[in-house]
Amino acid sequence: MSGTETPASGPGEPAEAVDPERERPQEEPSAEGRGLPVPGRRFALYTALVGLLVFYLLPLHSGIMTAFADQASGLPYAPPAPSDATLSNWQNGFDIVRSGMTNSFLFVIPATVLSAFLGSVAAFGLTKLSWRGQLGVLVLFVAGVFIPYQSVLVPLRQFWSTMALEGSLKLLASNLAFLPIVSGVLFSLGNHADLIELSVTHTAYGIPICTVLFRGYYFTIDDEILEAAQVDGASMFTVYRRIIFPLSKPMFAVTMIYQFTNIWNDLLFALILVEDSAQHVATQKLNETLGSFATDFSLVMAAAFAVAAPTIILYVLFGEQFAEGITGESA
Amino acid sequence: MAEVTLESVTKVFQDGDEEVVAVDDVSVAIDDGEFLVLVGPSGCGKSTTLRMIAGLETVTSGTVSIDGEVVNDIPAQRRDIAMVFQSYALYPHMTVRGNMAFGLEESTTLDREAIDDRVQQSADMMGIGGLLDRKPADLSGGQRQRVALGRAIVRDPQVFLMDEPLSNLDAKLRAQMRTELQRLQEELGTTTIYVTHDQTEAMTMGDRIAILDDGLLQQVGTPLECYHRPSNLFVAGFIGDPPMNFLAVTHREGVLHADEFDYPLPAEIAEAVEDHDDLLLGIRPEDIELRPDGTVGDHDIEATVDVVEPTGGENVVYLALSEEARREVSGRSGQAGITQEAAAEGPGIATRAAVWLRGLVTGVATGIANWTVGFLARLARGGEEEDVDAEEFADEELEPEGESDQMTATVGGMDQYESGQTVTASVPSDAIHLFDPDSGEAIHNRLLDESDHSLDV
Repeated sequence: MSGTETPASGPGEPAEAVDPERERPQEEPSAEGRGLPVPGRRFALYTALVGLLVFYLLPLHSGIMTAFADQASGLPYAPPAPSDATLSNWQNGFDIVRSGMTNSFLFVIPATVLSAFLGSVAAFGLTKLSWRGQLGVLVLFVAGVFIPYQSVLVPLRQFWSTMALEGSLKLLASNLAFLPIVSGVLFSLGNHADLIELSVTHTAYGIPICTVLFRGYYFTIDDEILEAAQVDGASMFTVYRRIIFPLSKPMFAVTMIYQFTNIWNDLLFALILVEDSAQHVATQKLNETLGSFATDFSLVMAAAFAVAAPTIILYVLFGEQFAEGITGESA
Repeated sequence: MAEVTLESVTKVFQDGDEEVVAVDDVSVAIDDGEFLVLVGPSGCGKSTTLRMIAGLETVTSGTVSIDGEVVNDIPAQRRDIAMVFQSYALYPHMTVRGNMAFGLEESTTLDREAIDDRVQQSADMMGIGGLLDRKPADLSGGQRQRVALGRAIVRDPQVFLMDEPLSNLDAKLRAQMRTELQRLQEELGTTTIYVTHDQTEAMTMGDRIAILDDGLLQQVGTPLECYHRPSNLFVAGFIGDPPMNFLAVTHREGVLHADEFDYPLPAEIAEAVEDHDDLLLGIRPEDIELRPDGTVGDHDIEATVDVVEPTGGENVVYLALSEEARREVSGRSGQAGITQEAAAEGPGIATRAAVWLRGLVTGVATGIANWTVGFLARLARGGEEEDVDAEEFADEELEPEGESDQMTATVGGMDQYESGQTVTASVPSDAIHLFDPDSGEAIHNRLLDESDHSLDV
């Protein structure tokens, strides 16, 4: 989590500094005549803004500077002298976490998409359809939101051990050897069994929160729209596919960004479930850059930025829909 | 196109442990191509009835048939009906074209081209041919309304169901759409069931109207039938604006007695009410003839003008009948002159401040009181959320009262009357209605010209 929080506030901050400037002309008439004169107020405002800017950006700045510094020379956290600046940390750091990032993508994307989609379907069933025992199911979902990761670690490990996913997949693959393509796919899945376990676990863990988020959103969708669709001849399945799903885009942005960030940054489940070092995920690889005796901070910083990059990119790409989803109601 | 038949249709909502009867044993047959208006005060069960026909609400007992087939167990999707909602219920993420095509895509096997053709044709018919690529959010209220209608028309269904489709439009547009809807329905000849709480819409649009109150069907008939031959007190009071006047009277040997007047009945009416002692005398405002003070005949009542509401073409005159009320009115209109003079000088700032302050204090106090009462009421109900449809039925009664010592008369716009003036109100005996005050049943309805066959049933 900490990897994203700092950079995420980075892009947000300059925008905040610009906004008051735009609003200023409207404010001015009312500001006159009370408190400080206008230039004084402006000075105070900008001092405060710059102060906050420094407060939020300093850690980020130190991190970036450290990542550019040659480890052997200069002070940590301070900008390196031009002669000491180097890109080699980035190169090395990225090399270390690269395979982990590939693995992370392999399990995070399915888990994100599945938990958001299943959450949306479940929320639809819990808001727009009426059936017996609805309340009980909802209570289960809500309770699911509050189960801490730590409390399920042991049963989770036992469950997946019992499932013996890798062995089963590979056995199936060898039995289906006469279907080369199917067999090949199954075998490859078997090689990524730890990631599948991780993906399924995160999907299951993400469904409750996604359901709760979607449920709040679906309450704002007018029931008459769904009734109109029913009268128009649409089944409830079609109503979901053609009405609810397209109207849910902003909420999908919210849940998917939330889920992606959460799952991508998770280390705990990965440590418990991923044993095969070839399947280690990005956070595990990053963890490995911390040496047991001496730590190369420049390398760690560079690797951390590399690992944090996908979540930042996601925020930047879908920021608009995200804002729409968390503030807005359905049209 | 098809006929729709409701037979003893009943709907009971479960509200916690209580049962709320929303629709009670309603039977009505709607002919092929007919325009039937379901009208009644809010909470009377008219929308629930419509939703049962649509299949959006289950039928507790009784049967709903469309085109001779009982559809109780057929889901809304397969009933071949189109519905226009009060909120229009347009699909916000689709263009007008998408909205109109949706029903055809889901309920027919037409190909793309045929669908586009029909959408274009219906859109042109509704005058929205140029808006097909816009989203609902970019349309005005009137345009959205047309899209909602267009979406129903394009389906060419067996039955149109409309749930207060005009109530979100402004008055002028509503009147315009009223005419347009009628023209459209006549052109298409599709059986239409139209729900409204507005008796003007009911009177002007329906081939027949069905009046519901408290879940019970009161009367089904042509608008004029319901207007001139109301079957009971509720229909008489609900249809017509301003509503019919009701005066409580006692009947003794062919004469109606009230504190303010005695009203001898013509022989044939007296015969009809022979067995009744207590009666309610009903008279429509436009049937009352007003004369500036004059001789008081058999069917005349002396009254004092309370308030005059000019509407241009006609004046609505509110009359005070009882001596007490008349004295009060006279006193008030005398004072009015003085207050106006005082007002011309303008009240002092202190007075204005005091009035304002008093308003503020009363406002806040009322607010707090209302909130507290509401809160306690909610507590008393155990804080349970009421069923959405059930809460409507808690509305106050609209039942007209007979005790009123007031009467309303409409006169021509050129006939000037002033508040406080003494007038003679003539109540012609051929225009009176008589009701049983206990059952509300109509005992005698007004006489009509025998040559008028528009009311033949």
